[in-house]
This record gives sequence, C-alpha cells and structure tokens, in this order.
Amino acid sequence: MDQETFEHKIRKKFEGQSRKAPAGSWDEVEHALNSELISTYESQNHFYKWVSFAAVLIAVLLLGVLLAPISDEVSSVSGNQSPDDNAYYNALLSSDYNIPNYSNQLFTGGISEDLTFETFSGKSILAEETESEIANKSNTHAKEVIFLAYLKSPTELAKTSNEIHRYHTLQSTASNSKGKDRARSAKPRLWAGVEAGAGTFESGIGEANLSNALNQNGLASAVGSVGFVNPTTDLSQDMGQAVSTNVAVDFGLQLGDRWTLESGLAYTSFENSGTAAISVLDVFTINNSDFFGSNGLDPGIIDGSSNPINQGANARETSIEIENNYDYNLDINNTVRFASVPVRAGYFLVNNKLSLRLNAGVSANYLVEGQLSDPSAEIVNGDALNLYNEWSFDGVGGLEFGYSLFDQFDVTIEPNYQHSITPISRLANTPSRFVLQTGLRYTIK
Amino acid sequence: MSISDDKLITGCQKGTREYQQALYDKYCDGMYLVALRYSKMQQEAEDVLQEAFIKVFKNIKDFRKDSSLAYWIKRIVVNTALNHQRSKLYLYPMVDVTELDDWNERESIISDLSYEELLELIQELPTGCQVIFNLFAIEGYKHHEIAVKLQISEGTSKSQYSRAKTLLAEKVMQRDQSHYGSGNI
Repeated sequence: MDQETFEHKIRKKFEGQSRKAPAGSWDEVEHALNSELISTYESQNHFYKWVSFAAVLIAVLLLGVLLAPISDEVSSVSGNQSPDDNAYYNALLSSDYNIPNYSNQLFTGGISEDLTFETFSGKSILAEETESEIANKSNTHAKEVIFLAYLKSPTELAKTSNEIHRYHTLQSTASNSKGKDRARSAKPRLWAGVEAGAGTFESGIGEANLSNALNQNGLASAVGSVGFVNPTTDLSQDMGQAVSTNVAVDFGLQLGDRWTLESGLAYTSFENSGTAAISVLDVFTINNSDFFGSNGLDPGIIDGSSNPINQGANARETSIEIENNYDYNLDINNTVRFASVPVRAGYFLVNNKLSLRLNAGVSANYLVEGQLSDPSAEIVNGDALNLYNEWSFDGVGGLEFGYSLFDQFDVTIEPNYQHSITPISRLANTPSRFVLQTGLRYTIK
Repeated sequence: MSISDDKLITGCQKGTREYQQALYDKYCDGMYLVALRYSKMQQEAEDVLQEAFIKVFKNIKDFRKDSSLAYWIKRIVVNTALNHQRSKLYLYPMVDVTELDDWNERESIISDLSYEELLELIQELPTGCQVIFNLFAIEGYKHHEIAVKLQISEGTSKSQYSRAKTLLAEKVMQRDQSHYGSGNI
C-alpha cells in the first residue's frame, strides 16, 4: 500500500461523518452573540450621544445667528436688488403699511424729504438726509444702505415720537455688481456644506506598543506554552502609510469683512495592513508520558529499554523542561474610524467669484472603531485589539479655494495639513497627515 | 426543509438570528466531529465548536464565496482548534524515524478501523502527533504547508507524522491483544 492510498483511505473514512453536537450548545453561542450585540450597542450609543450633542450645538448656533441681527419690527429684502427691482417693489407692496405713497417717490428717483435714510451702521439713528447725501453714502461706503420709510411724515413724527415703524434694506448700487468683493457684505453670511476627501494616514503604532498589546492579549503565550517567560519580546513591524477617506458636513459663519468661523462633523476611515514578527521564547515541559507509553514502560524508541521509567538504574526525570526560541510571523490588519468635530477660524485672502481662504483650528476626534486583527485568524487569541485612544485632538491648517457656481452655491477644494496635538495611539505618537477635500457649499443668507 | 447556503449566508450577513441558528443546525454536527479530532476531551471540543461558530458569525460578512461555506467553516474550526492546542503543542524533530519493514502492515491495521475507532485512537495521541496526523492525513495539508502553519521544520512535521502512525498501529495491536488475550507470549 503506498502512502497516498493510506491518507486517501483515512480521509474517506471521515468524509460526510458527523457527531451529534451537545444539546444546548446553540444556547451558548446565542448567549455570546447577544453579549457581543450589547457591547456593540453600548459603543454605538456612546457615539450617537456625541453626534446628537454636536447636532444640538450646531442647531443652537444656527438659530442664534438667524434670530440675532434683526428685530421684529424690521423686515428686510436682501440680495442684489436695485431700487427699481420688481421683487423689492412687490415686497413693499405686500406690506401691511401704506408704503406706496412713498414708494413711488422712492423708486422713481423722487426721493423726497418725506423719507429719511440712514446707513447700516446707524440704523437706530434717525436723520434726515438729502438725496445727494444718500447717494454719496452709497457710493463711498459701498455697503448696504438702509432706506427708512416712515408711515408718517417727519413733521408728524416729530410731534409724536421718534419711533421707527418699518424700514427696508437694500444693497447699495456700488455692491450690486456681480463678481465684486463679497467680503464687503455687511450682513453676516451663513453657509452649510458637504465635503469628501482623501489623505494620508500614519498608523501611529510603534513597535513596542504593538508588541505589548499583542502580549497583553496572550498572543505570545498562545504561540508558546503557558510558561512564556520573555516579556520583552522583540517584534519587528512593517505597517506603512495608507489612504484615509473622509466625509463631512460643515457650517460656517462670516463674522466680519473677512473673518469666518466654521464647524461641523467629519467621519474618517482608514485601513492598512502589515506584517509583524514575534520572537518567542517558549519554555515547555515534556512529561515522560509523551515519550513512553501510558503504562510507564519505555517502548524502546529512545534507548530500547523496556523498564519502568522511574525505577532502578533506568530512573528518569518525570518531566523535562525545554526552551525553544523561534520567530513567529504574522500578518496584521489595522482598521481605524474616527468621528471628528473640527472648529476652524478662517480669513478670506480673496473673496470674489474665485475665493481663497486661509484656515486654522483644532479638531476633536472620537474613536468609533479601532481594530488590530490577524486576518488568518490563526494566531491572535482575541479577535481584535484596539491600540487607539478614545479621544485625540489635531491641529488643522490649510487653504480653501472656492468658485461661485451660482449666487448661493460654491464649489471648494481644500488642501489641509493635520498634526496630532495629543497622541492618537497608546504610544505617545503624534502623526501628521495631509488631506485633500472637495465639497459643495450653500450660502443660507 | 434545508435552506440553501446562499440564503444562509445572506441572512447571517444581515445578522438575522433565525438564519444564524439555521446555519448552526446545518453544520454543527459535522464540525463537532472536526473539533473532536483535535481535542482530548468532549468539553474541549465543545469550547472549540462554540468559539469557532462565533467567529463564523462575526466574519461571515467578509466571506467572498471563493470556497464552499462548509470548507470555510471547517477552516475556522481547525484554526480555532489549533489555537486551543498551541499552549500544549510542542513539536520536536524525532530522532531515528526510519521507514520500518512492516510499514505497510501497520498502515493497513489503521486503515481497517472504522472512523469511530480511529477517532478514539487519534484523541489518545500526544498533542503534537494528533495535530499533525489530522492536518496531513485528514485535512490534506502538505508537510511544507504544515511547517509554515505551525512554524516548525518540514522534517519535524514528517517525523511527527510517522510517530503518529506508529503509535496508532501500536495502540490497535495493544487493544487487539487485550481483546483476544496474549497467549502467544
């Protein structure tokens, strides 16, 4: 009988055979799966809690911005209308007040002494100005001019009170031209955007850190015996850079002529793989029963004797301790996912149809998932190890190039540089990365 | 009615408990026998079986169907069993393992056994021999593949396998002697 036939016969004996699994074994598996689910839910719950917090914070900021600038008695028409714009005229006509008497004069250029005009910066100040004065202000400031339209004539108003009943805002003719410097807009601009990008990512795992982590989870002792005695296992590691991908939503506010403040929520995902080699010093105890028959008789494999092993001249140690030193190579996969809340201040260097903004800020990163795993599932006792800190903070800096597609839509490209302020992994490692993002932005007001 | 593997895979990938249980019911008996081959005791095999199926359900989303589901699950069971055995596994090259004159006779003795008898004897082998006999004779790994898998030399794998066959044949002969008496001594 040749050897191939022997193995074939043995294999065939076990083909299609089974042994009834113990009753209740599914219950054990189900219990373990349920425990796993609970732990997943807890982790997700933690994540969603922070997302909710960020969402509420952003909503409160938005609401504050929307409500803050204008009082109840004021209605405004913003945009690039000129005084003879139909939309503006219709807005006035739809008013509860008897504006048309004045609007005729207003829109036909007949600005009379019945109307009082004021610049944006002095909207609480009542002043009568001549047509030429208004014209001068409009041209020189190149800002919005507020037209104050009294329901009563200034003469009547003087007899009663200085109450302003209504006023409407218009952009001055000087700022109406498309493609002009949008930074000069006096009204606070608010925008929302979506972005996607890719960048580099260093794993941030040092060799010692990986070694310790693997040992903590029993890898080395799993490879060797229970008597694993070398806590300073050497480990070589090769885990290079990989590409990270991210998506983000952000909200921004223009604070002044050129300054901006921006925040939002970003999700970054990164995966890479590498190899690690563990040098294992294994101390193993061999019992004589491994060499000799369970009846205590030497079957003659080693020296041909057949005497009881612990008696007389042939007495032997009942066990032998042997050291075995070898390298164990394994592949490792690294998966990291972060949710981040960035806060950035920006300064418009150029703010025309094409814009260029300089940004700088910080980003708080929450670890959603961090797994170091052995894809062959042959070695690592725990299914996955996490070497990353739950929270970390990055410094963020970069440029944003924008192009205005329509009145309220901009497309942006942002090369950014991020550097860890606090370690992302348990080793004090502060990697940096370069990220290129592109996105679409909608200006709300 | 048996659910197809495709449906089981899809259901388990969605995490549906009914499909997980159906998959377990379909394969647990076959895989329990695999776990028993690598174990010394029933409790140890049960632990391997449960741990292996938990890994199956956790990783089935990555199953790419480049092999059969049964083969994929079996690989996980074997790897899980090996992980369990590693703490007891010490493989050393045997000295003086030469082809014996009565090699064919010994192999014949082993291959005449039923699978139940063979299982019982495999479980009695020293851990190293047990693992290598399973991997080579039943799983179909080559010695150089076993060497890589267990981080040993190819020679060690071969010598341990020879020792396993020798021990199995001796156990059969001892058992037969005890059954039929030892009148020839």
